Amino acid sequence: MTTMTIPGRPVVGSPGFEEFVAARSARLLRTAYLLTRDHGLAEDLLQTALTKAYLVWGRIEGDPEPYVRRIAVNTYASWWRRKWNDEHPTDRLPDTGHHDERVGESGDLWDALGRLPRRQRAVVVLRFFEDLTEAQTADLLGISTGTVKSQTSKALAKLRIDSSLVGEEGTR
Amino acid sequence: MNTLQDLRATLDQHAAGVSDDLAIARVGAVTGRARVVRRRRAAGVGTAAVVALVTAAALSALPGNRDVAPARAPDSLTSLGWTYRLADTLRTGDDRVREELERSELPRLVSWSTTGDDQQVVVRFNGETWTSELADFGDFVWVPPNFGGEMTISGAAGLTMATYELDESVIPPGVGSGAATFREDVAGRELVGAAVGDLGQAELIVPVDAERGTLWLAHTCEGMPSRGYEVRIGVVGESGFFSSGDSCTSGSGFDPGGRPNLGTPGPWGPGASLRITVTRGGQVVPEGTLSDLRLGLAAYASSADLVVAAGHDFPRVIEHAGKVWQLDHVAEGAGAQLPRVTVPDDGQYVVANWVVASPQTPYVLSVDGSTEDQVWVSGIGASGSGARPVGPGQDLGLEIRGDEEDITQAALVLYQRVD
Repeated sequence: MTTMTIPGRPVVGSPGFEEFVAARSARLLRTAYLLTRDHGLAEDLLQTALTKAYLVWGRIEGDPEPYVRRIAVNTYASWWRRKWNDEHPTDRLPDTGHHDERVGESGDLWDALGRLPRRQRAVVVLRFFEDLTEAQTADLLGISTGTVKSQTSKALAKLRIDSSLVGEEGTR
Repeated sequence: MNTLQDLRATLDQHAAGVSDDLAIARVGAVTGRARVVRRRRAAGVGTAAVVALVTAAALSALPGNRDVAPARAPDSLTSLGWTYRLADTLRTGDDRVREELERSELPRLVSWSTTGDDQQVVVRFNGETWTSELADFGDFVWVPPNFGGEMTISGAAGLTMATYELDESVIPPGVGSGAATFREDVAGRELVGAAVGDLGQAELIVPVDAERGTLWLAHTCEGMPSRGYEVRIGVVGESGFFSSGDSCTSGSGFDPGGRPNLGTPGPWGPGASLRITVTRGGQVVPEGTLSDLRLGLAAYASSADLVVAAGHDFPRVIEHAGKVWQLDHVAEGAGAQLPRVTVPDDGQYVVANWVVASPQTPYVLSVDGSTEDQVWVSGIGASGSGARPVGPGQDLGLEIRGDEEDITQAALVLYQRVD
């Protein structure tokens, strides 16, 4: 950790921001990890979202967490991959499309989640990890509830999950 | 067919595995990024106004009047193949800046820029003094893992200090995982065998291409308790071992290949393997006993890259303080003719020394007539000090505090930065 203790240095912290980061960022980091599946990228995504929020901190009304989550998810879903795809080395071969997109009976759900398109993965994380309703998910992603339903349905099909079950617990 | 319960459980399970180790540092990192964004925005807003002033500015910006805005800190810097991301910047406008670095498990770089004509700065940290003329983020001081303390940069006007933190997601080519990766190339030595064990694994066998003579070994034993246990390294099929120790000095486990310090006698021919074990009471610890233990071993080939001075092998190329250094000058002496050397005015240099003398003979390194801390020759009759920074034009010498006849050989070796 780096701290500056130079006398006279301007105070740059916004009231409440540090407390928010301390109290809430662990949960946001987990969401970022489920989206990026990489600890370093998750931290970078979270810091990117927090930086954007920090710059307008005084103008955020109410609970900042949904705002930060919205930034993180949309950053991930839009330019995240474009920004990092060519820069981030990996010890795994990239997905090349030869996988069976549907996970097998004994298939690993985590691997299958990793093969979902970004938008579908975001919908799954928001709906089934964050427990957001379809309406909340739609609002957060800036898409219609119909799109949330269709993206969810496609994602669950690829994960070999009976989508009829979603209606029972998932249309909140 | 999976169920939604399976899906939720999978998400929860992987989310639970995320440890928020950087929580404390996150605010600093975020505010640092915010400052960068604000500076960029300010630069953009100011463009139109700047255009109107270009003519007047051009008239006043005569050579020798380098009164310009500070250079923008790059988003990342690299050191020995590792990438460090900008975490914070501090612009003072003064000719002196002081920062209190708190201890961190991961390494950092501190860089700087100036706005004045004189770009020479002096950086003091951790008892060392570095001199640099590479301003505007062209140079850095490496802060090792688990280190903190006060750093001061002084000399040139308009100082801006930038702190960079290790980006663990960008790993140099090698063997291992994350920051605990044995790099493929360390100071020109090639990785010829390496392995990193699973957590709790107390024995590793590492096949090596050992036909090229002496190998340099590096190991990590992160998580081994500090008392009662011992690490042993030897050749499979041969009795005994040529290295043992009861401590793991690798700290955070960062860059374990960066400290290869054991030259082995090899070659052993094709099919040779090395073995590293953790023992207790002479017996290999059963697997899983030490659940936090992570063993790793790497062998690097050296191809005639040594220079002998005062009977000691000095590598032609070394890594030190996050930089690469090449042997530039060797001064040898004995008895009343102890070695002296003057540091060249160009470039950055570090000096190493080696003294062969009667055990417990005291000696010191002098710099421009001032002496450093006294050192005593070890019980085996030889001692040396590793690289330490020296400044341009400094006169260096070894001074004995005992009888001159006690010294049989001594060497001062200068290395110049080459990366």
